[in-house]
Amino acid sequence: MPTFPTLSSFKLTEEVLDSWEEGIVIDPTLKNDSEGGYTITRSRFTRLRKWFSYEFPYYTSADKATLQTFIDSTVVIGTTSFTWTNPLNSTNYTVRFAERPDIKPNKGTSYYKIKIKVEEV
Amino acid sequence: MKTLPAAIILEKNKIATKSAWLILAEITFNDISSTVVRLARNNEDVTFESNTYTAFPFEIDTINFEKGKIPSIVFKVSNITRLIQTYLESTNGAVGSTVRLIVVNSDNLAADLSDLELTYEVVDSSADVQWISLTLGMPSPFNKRFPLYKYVANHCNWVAQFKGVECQYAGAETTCNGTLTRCRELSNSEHFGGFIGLGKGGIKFV
Repeated sequence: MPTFPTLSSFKLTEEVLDSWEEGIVIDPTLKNDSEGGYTITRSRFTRLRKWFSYEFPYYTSADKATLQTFIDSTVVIGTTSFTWTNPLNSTNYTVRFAERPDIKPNKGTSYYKIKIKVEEV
Repeated sequence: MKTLPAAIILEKNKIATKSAWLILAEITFNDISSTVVRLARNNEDVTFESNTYTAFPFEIDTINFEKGKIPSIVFKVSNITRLIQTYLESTNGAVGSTVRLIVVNSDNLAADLSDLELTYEVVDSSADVQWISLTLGMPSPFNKRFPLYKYVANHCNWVAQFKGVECQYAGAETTCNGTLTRCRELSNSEHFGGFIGLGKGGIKFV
């Protein structure tokens, strides 16, 4: 299984922490409102799949090229799963890209702003 | 009357619980080795009765009651990976294979759930890029061959399964034309699957 590339310019900066979001891909709750005024709830499945999203605005051109190759050739956007390490706690997850990473030049600098969203398979 | 274990009844009656009711499917293909494929409609594998049921997408349609037809259910298994299709191709569409559907509770997998099981036979199948559809039901008596074999004097009923369990020929030859002459050439006439007595001449007992 491919592994998310090491991008040397990436650092856990305030921008990353400010943009950090995580959640559950599908809420497993099955809910049924009854005539009696109560609600019956169950789980639909047993595993909670998580998603993570973050943005870093200072990727170098070399890192952007590495990431672009990984996205377009190695995993072909969301088709293939890969191992990704959560930079906050160093936990490994098997994930796929939930959407194509958003790559933009960082205005007024030579860096690139890249937003990544991954979800557990 | 179907009975459920007390733990399952308690779980069923709860207003709120984190447990999930999962459907497991055990497909036993009618190939020589009776290959068994175990699937779980869940997003992680489930271990039930010491067997691992692999998380795999499948769906079960409602029972189809058509006038003049035997009730059937369409059991659809994902065909994105073509994983199950290989079994279909090697077993003539899996017709005659059995599918056991089991409903389990994720927090009570050790409970006796034998009353929440249904076993069907595959009576029809089809496949496209998205789904494999197995029609489950009772085998129709109108689709059964009767009498089971053709009674022909000089044609072996086992020729289609040359070297099969009825033919029992174990030599080096690879072809047979189904005649008694050929069977004698192969020194296997004791297993000839034709009915020589039906030929011209001889004595017939009716």
